[in-house]
Amino acid sequence: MVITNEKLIQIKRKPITDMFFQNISKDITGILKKIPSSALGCIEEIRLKTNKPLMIYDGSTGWFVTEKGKLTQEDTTGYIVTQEAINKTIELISNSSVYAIQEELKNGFVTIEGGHRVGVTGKVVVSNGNIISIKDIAGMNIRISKQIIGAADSVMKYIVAGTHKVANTLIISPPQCGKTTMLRDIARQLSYGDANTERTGIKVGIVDERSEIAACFKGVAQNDVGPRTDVLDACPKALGMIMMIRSMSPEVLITDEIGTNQDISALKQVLNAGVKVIASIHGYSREDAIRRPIFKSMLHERFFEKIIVLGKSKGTGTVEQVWDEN
Amino acid sequence: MVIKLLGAVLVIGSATVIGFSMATKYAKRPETLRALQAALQMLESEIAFSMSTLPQAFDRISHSFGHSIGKLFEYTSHLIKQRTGITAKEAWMKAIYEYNNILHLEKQDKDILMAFGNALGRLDKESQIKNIHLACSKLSLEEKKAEDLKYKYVRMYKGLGVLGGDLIVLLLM
Repeated sequence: MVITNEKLIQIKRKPITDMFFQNISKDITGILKKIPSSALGCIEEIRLKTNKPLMIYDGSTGWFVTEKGKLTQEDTTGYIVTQEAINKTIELISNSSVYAIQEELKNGFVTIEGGHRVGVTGKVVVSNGNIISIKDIAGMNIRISKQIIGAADSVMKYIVAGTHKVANTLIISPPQCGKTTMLRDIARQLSYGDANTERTGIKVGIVDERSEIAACFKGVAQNDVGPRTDVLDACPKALGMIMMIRSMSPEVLITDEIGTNQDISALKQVLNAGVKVIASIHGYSREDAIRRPIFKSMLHERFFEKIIVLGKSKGTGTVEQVWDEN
Repeated sequence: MVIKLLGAVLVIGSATVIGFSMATKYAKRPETLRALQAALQMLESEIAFSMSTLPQAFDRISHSFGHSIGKLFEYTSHLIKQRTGITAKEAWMKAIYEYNNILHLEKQDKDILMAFGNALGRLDKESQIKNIHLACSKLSLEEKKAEDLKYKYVRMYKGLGVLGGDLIVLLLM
């Protein structure tokens, strides 16, 4: 183990702009705009549910919003969201073309311009065991995109040796501990390089199955993932990894939440091709990962040179441990 | 005498113009209805095969169709693209209202267009296409009726204009 408990410091959230409001029904935007800008800047989620009060989440607490834009814990005073408002919002999000986002809606969310993500619930239409579409949408959760520039500052020195020698790295993290945020910032930092430490920028390929790392809108990354970064958006990991090394010749391949046997075998192919890999898995510790048969052999065979364990002991995104496997 | 003659020519001339313009309304309507059906069919293929967004599809339609229909689609697309929170339905209604004068349509035709607009952009692909088919079949019915009316009234109004003018001249002589 190399370090313990280091806490990241810089957090930057994207401001909510007019461009963002263009996606939401006018009656709701009217209310949201009345919320004081100090509070508006902290919003992480905006929740709309048919015939239920309008809600926002600031990361830890949920608030109901009154018609005058006041935040309250009293659900009876909250502004009631109509079905019409939800329909209009879906229409605006899709640029008046709900039929065109049908495919994306199957996954339960769409990414909008700015990288914000809109999750939906409603009636799911199933045929032959496959989800065909979601109709009668009655609930929406608009999650404000935030990129934490510098989230990977404390770990870059373990990932890169010298000017450009990248170590195969596995990030182990429980849910909600900043694993995707970390991957995103690693991609950004590798891609830009760093003049201070004479680290050169290198070609990075991101296989972004759940559109969370780069948050692509129409194929264009909405988060800053660096000038030398290519993104395969919404692509199944196992297929995407192979596709990426064939098509874009990245020096480092980054992907989120490895979990299936196909993922592992694709990962091995990538490593055999001489491309470095930085990936993440769900887990609480190195021992925890080793206990799972699927990762056991990977870790024993030392496919990964560095293992970073994230946790929450000093807040979201705490680097709990860094292991050097060599 | 010269002045009388001149007046007579003027009266007959203007009566003829009135007659012809009344006839134009009946002559143009079936044409417009046909063009609208063609435009909607184009929209169907844009939605079914190209998966273009509504503004993209409307822009393409406006390029392929002439004067009045082109304007209707172009203006709707323009309104949606401004992204002021206006929905496709509202934009479509506004465009119909705006270009009412050059569309040569009757109330029942506009009702069909508005019913079509109600579902515009807010349905899944299959329902969107069904909605287009429904509007097309309704428009086709109106087109047949309009064709009959055209046959009946165009010659009548043209003749009525000229003859009416003659009658007034005779009475005033």
